[in-house]
Amino acid sequence: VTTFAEQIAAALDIDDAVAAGERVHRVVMDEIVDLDPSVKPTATGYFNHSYVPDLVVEWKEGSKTASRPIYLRHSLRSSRASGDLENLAHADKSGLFLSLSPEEPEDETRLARRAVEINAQSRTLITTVPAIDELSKPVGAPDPVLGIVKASVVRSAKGFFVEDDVEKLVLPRDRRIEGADLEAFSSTVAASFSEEAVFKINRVVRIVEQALSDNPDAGQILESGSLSQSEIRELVPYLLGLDGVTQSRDFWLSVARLISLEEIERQWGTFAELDLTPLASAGSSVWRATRAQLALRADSIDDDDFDMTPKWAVTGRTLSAEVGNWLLTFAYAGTKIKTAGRASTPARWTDLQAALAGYTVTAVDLSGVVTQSAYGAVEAADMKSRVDAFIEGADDSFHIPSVTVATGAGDDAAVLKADFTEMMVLATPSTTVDNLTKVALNVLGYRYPTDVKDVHELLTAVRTDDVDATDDAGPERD
Amino acid sequence: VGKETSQRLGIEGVQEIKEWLEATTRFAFTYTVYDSEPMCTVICQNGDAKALDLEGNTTSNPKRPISVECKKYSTVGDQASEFRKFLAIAYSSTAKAIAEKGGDWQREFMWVTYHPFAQTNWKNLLTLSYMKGCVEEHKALLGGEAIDDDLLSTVASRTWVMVVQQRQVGIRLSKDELAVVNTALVHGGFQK
Repeated sequence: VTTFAEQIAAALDIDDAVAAGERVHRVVMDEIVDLDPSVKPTATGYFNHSYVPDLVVEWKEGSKTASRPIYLRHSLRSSRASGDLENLAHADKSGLFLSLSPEEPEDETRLARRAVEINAQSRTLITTVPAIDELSKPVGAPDPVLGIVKASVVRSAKGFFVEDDVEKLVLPRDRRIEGADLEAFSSTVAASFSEEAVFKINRVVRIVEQALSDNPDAGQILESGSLSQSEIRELVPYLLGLDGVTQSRDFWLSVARLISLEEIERQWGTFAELDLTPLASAGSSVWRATRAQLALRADSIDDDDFDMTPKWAVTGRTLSAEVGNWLLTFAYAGTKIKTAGRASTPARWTDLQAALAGYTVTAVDLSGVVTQSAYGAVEAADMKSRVDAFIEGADDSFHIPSVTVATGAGDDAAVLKADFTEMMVLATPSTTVDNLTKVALNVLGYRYPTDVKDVHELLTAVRTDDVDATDDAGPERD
Repeated sequence: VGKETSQRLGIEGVQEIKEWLEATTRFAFTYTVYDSEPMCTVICQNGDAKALDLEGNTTSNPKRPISVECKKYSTVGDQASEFRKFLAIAYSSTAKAIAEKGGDWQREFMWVTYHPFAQTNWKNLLTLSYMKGCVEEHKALLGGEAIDDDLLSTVASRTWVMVVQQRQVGIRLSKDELAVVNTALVHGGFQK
């Protein structure tokens, strides 16, 4: 494996200046994406130009596209001679100036550092190839703090840093840090990143701290807002695979609060192949979805060695849960799980009686004749007695394609339509994943009822033989 | 390899000329001689290597390479004789490149100076006969090769002489203004 610095030297080792520029651009773009996979660099075709950047990196910030210009310079001396340090005096400038030189004279680093010190508000970054090299050295084991530091450099690093500074930034490498090291790390982070990035890095530090604590204090991590794409990528796989990670539901709940199902769907690749159980069992009470689909679990379910433990994962780009005989998939966006005219067998009203006990039924599709309460879901009269009366007059085998129930109250109020022909629950508006789970298992899955202990385990990650069925598997009551 | 040492411009001065020329949007320079002497060097027919101050290209399509020599004379000095050698180097390195690469590299050569020189000869500086005289004067650079008059006239047509004054360099658009101009030019389809 060649280092970034070696690749730069090799790229520049050619007579043709234009070709040297193209080669060096490719190496730098690869390095940028290695550091931060969420940005997209583009080469402008100019190399070491005085005002046109060599590269522009772009990334998404919500619905907007943000960008940062990157200027390559042959040395800090050359950079200073071309007036790059003047950018430091302008808070609106956010350029990244990268010196390609393998070494810099000390008086140059001193001058750059001084210029940065008197312009603390600047968003400009002046750094060197050896510094980036130090940052991207391979690590023994992935560390999310180091990961988020690296991932923040391209977008949010500011000021001036060379190898010595980066040595402090990479202190978390391969181990947990404390004492003087932690102080050196924190002060270098504070000096080297935008306020927003410092907040994110510190949040990751705190989450990792609590994840390994004997008595995690969720209060330490409960922050409003949500984890960024980089934080999720660095943190979640690490936490889920971490030896000795806390089982505290409060801890996992506070992490889950910082992630939405939408974000999980967007970043499905980060979650694929992971056992999400500790996170998602806690998250099920806060993550919101609009759809849940129910299907029979794998064919091998009858094998003796089939692991029947309830569990969560991301499969096929959506959150999924396996419990009892069932595989549930959830979607925030309707487009992730589509209705497809599956034409599964409608339910017999009489068979549903037990499943609907405790739910307020607001609408029933009587094979095309929709009977619906004239009121909103909250004060809806339960439709059951009216349907009963209707069915009594019809024949015993009367089948219904869907039944709609109301759950929750106030801001949590939602109506959930259990569609037997699609084996799908559709919520309006979105509702919590655990609410969808219960309606899907109880109503849609009435043919193969799920053990209440299994449902309890799925939603709490705790196995207990003493479960009150009405509390944990039954419908939510107002 | 020897950098022309007389009246050379310091790194800030070379950077300023680089910025001034780039501000026209017609040039892009990749190296100064302070960044890499080899990258700014042209080779004459006798094998002599001459480092010039700026290495870059035009922004025309196709791009053509350009070498710039910057001089910070405050008096006439020996500039005229330095310039004569510069012309001989321009010719000989072009002839060398053609012989070696089998094709014309179409390199432009620009002499930028802060002080006028050879004023009695000014209007003849880039004529065929003046150029021929310069090449003959520095015959050693030819390594025994004969002078090609067609090539002399071609090289003369690719040679620039610019006399600048500090205030002229100073009135270039600022980098911030140029960023706006460049965006507009790209948007208008004038630059890629």
